[in-house]
Amino acid sequence: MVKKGRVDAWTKNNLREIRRTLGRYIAILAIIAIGVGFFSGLKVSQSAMLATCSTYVNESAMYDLRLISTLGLTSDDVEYFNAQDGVVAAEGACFADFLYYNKKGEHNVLTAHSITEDLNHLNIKEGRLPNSPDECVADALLFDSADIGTKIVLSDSNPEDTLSTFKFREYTIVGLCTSVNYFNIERGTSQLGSGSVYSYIYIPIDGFNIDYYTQIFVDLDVDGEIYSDEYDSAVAVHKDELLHKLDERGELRKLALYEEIDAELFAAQEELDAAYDEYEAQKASVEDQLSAAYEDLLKAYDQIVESEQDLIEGERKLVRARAQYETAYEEYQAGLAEFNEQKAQMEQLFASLHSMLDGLEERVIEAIRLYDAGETINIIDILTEYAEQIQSVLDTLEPSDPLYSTLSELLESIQQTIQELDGTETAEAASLLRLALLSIRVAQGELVAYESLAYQELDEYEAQLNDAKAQLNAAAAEIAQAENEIERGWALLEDAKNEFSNGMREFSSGRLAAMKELRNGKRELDNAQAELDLAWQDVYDIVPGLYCYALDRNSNTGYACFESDSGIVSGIAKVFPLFFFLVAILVCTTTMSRMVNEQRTQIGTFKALGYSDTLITFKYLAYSGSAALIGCVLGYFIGIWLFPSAIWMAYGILYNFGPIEYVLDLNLAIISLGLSMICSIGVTWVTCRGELSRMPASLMRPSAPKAGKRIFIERIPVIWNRIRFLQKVSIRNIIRYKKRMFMMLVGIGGCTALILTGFGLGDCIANLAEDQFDEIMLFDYTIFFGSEQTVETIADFEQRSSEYLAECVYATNEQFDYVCKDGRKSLYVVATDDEAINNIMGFADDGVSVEYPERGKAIVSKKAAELAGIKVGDSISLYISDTETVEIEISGIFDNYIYNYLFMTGETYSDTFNTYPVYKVAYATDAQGDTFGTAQAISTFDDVEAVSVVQELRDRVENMMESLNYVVLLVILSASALAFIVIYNLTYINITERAREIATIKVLGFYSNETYAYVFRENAILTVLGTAVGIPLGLLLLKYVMGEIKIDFVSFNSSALPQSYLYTVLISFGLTYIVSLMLRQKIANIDMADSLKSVE
Amino acid sequence: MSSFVRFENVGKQYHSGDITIDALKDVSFEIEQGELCVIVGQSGAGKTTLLNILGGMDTPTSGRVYLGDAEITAFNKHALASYRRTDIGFVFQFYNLIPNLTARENVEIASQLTKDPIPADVILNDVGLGERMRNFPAQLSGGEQQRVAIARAIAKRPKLLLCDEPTGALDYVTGKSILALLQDKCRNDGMTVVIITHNSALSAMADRVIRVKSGTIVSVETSSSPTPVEDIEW
Repeated sequence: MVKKGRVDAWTKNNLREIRRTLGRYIAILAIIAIGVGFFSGLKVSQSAMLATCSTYVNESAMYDLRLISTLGLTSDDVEYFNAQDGVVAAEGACFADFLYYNKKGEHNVLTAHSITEDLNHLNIKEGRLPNSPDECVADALLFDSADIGTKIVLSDSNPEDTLSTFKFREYTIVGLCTSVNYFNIERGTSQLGSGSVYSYIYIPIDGFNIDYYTQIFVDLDVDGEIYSDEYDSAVAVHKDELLHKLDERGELRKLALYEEIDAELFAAQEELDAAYDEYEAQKASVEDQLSAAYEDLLKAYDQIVESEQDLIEGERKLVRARAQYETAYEEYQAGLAEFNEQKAQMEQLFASLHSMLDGLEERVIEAIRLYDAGETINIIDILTEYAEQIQSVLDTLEPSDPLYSTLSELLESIQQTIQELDGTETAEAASLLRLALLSIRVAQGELVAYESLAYQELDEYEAQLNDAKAQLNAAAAEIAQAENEIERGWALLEDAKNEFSNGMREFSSGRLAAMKELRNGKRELDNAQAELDLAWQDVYDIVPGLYCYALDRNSNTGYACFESDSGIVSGIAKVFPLFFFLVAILVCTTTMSRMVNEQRTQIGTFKALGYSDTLITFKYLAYSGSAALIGCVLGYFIGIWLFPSAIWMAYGILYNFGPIEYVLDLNLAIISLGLSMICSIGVTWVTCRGELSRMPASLMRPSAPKAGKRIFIERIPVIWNRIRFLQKVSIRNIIRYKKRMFMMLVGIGGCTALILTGFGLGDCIANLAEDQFDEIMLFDYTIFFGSEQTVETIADFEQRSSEYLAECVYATNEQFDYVCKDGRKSLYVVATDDEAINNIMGFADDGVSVEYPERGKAIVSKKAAELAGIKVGDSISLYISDTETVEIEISGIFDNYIYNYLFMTGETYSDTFNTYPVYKVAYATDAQGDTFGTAQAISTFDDVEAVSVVQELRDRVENMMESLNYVVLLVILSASALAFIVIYNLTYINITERAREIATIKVLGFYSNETYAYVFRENAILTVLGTAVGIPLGLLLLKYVMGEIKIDFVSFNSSALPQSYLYTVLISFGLTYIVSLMLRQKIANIDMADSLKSVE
Repeated sequence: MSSFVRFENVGKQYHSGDITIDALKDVSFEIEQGELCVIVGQSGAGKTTLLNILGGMDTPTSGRVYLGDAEITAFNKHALASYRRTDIGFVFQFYNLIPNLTARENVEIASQLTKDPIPADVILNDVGLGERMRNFPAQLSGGEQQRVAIARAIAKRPKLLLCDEPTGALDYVTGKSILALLQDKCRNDGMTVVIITHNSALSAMADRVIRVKSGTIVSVETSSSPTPVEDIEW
């Protein structure tokens, strides 16, 4: 009972102790928590990331190997591999790249994969899996829910080959997914578009229009954690074996393809022969048609000629008829004139005869009357005159004329009368005259008779004439008709001629066209035949070369990157926790020794009361131990939660598979606990042992204040005398408490170093992209040509690309392995003779520009030089086969942070490799200001195989680097927290230790500010010193940590920017200042009256 | 002419939880300039409180305190510090030398605060430590340390020298020599000296003795012919 009571009081005392000195307790707790948290957090981050990755890989049934053959793989191959030993499952799959227009109307490249059943399960984030071949699920990272239901449309600018690979031109997005094939934001490269794949989709295999698989995914029966050597080596064994088998299968497939192609060629030849026959037939028919048409034309021509002759003949006849008519008409006219003349003569004759006879009759009658009346007249004369008249008429008449006799008789009667009258008397005369009158009357009668007869004759004649006239008229009409006919004949002939020449023209053009068509047909056929002939010749070239690959997970960029990314913190994890524990030890030491020191009297009392040393020691061990235990547990759990979460948050941008898995690493927990126990209990035990070894009496006396001592600076009056009094005091105080000084220096210096390292990390990361892309790689594109570029092709290309590209440097770009300190690594060998290389690559070493090498020498990037352990003047060895190497002297080493390069001239290349350099690559700069537009334009050139845009690399690097910033922030914050605790704790102890001294100077009349300054001046000096120590230390640490960050193709320029130094200094000073502000009150609260009291 | 130091109805209460302790109750007294005053009382009588108030280290709950024309109780914190720095010289029971400073520097740390201090060398010679100026406190005996403390207190020419059990940690002989030094300072330099002690034997050396008990003044006695320290035995 008694014992129990004692223990209870003891325990109570101890608990009360904790409550009373809670600040101190918490300080130990916190420093251990931070130390353990940092240690376990950093250590566990990689495991947590790997565990998360492992779960993802296992749940998604990620492939172990990817078998690829350039000839494609068949379902037989799949079955074959499924049956192999060690293969759990093998599944064929297809993939193909295509161009499509995204929402913004930009041309992007997507990779379409077939959905696999057993392997590489898709992780559907939203929506569902496709049900029909024209549906797809899209990349959850680059598509969002709004895209579900929209269509991915294959662009028309896709090559024909690509379009034919797909069954549809549109695929409806029905869901969003993530895929183990794409761990991070890397989407791969493509021969299409800008050369970089934008995103991916998964479609059912039926959505492809190909009858073979492009790859086979294999799940192997292997053990081992991901990334472990065990796993890698187990896979490597199968890999070699399966690759060998894949080659065999490939050979089989090659033979099958040859047969297939032979058959195809035969079929093509047959088809072509048929086409030839058809051509011949068609040619013959066309020729027949043409000659028939020509004959028709000829006939028409003959007709034309004939009718022309007919017409001429008709004309000739017409002329004749017209002449005849003319003659007849003249005859008729003559007849008519004669008739008219005769008629006029006759009328004149008869008129004169009638007037003569009538006159005669009248005279005779007159004479008769006169004679009867007895008068006498000279009738004879009258009669004689008439007789004469009659005679003259008779003279004109033909004796045959009937008138002639009439008139002659009359004349005779008259003449007789005349004679008879001569001398006869009147009466007689009258009778005589009567007689004459009678004969006159007779003559008159006869004349009338005769006249009517004559007129009758005339009328007859006239009728004859009229007949002739009518005949003539009929002839004239006939002639006119014939003329008309002939005229019409000519017109028709003209038409016929026109028709003929048209026909002729049509015929010849038709013939030309037909001939041309035939010729074309023939040429096509000939070409086809020529091609086919070539194909026969090149039958072995048509089948692409057989190359088989068995790719393990490490060839998956995301998977491989993940390993190096997850290892990023391990470099930090190596150094930093060590430091944190060191600080924790320091803090525990000071705190506990202060505590033991404060409680000397109590310890002495307990000893005097008979408590064992062990029990007393245990009190302090329990005190620090319990604080450390709580701190350790808190720190451990916070650490393994906070660090992986923070880092995962950073990597979440890159890796989108599920939440981080927290790993409870028991070993780590035990190590943490062990370390924290060493820090707390170990340190306490060492401190206690010193004190407890004393006798109780000496313990109960106050421990003498630490004696003052002269310091070495005092022996240098030049300096010492210049320092102001209070500063001297501070300096001496600092040196007086060496342990504290040391701890402050270690604490502040170390934390400064950590903070600088943190900032430096950030700088290096930020610098990387800037330095690389603004200072070194000044070009915008790497253009890969399909074939070697010669002077002519270069000139041609320059001419075509002048609107897009400003500068273009042609070079070789080949990967070689070089000998480095630990084995072999690869670099790019670039050879060019173009001076402009200096415009697109900034060769410099720490700001000093590096000359492009002369013949026989080369310049190499810094990291390669480091890895190879060479400097300027040394030679680098390049592997040209598995065993042979060549050496090139290095004339310069230049800064380069991404990839490694070896630059030389074309001559050097020829000298070194014994083969002339093949310029298939051009480094170019954009002339348009539209980086991606230019890439797009250039990549459409036939001779350009691919265009790699530097900006894309830059984006990728920047993304990767950004995720490191979280780690950096974490480092800075932790280091600041640590610095704060160190400064606070030490200052706190300093103040409590020197409370009496502080009280004294207050009594002496120091103002508040002077009092604060008296204490904090020491802190300020120590902070300055600590920072001064910390900065070079930080640079060393930065170099070390950067060296530990192993990203294969990236090297860092491990230097911090000026502002980082500034920030570091500001933070360490700021922390000191904040501590000062916080502890001011502590100083203000020191009771001056305490200075009067005795020393406890 | 009013007295140099005046306490008028000074009271001081301490609160500790629900309990109120009256450290001083209605204390009034006066000390003339150039006097050596001994305040004597048992432990817990309130003499230290009285000293704290007079030294400007604490303020009374009620009443007023004057030094010369200045009302100390009206001072704010800063003025009080100023007051301590120029007007008051302190001598502590445990010397309160700063261990990291030599004897001379311990004097200087106080004197560098004032405008016209007595040079450290002079004052240390004066207290008989001319040879040990460059020694650290740890290298000095208790008496020597107290001499340094006295030198530190008077180097700045204070108006009032306050001594809290100056001999408390010293052996008899040394204590005596210290008291003699104080008496000399008072007699020769006309400095007003207030000594607080529980040893009533010392009251013989005083021009004025103030007896304190339970926070109140029991008696104030003045003596026209104080005994020289050398003659006092205890």
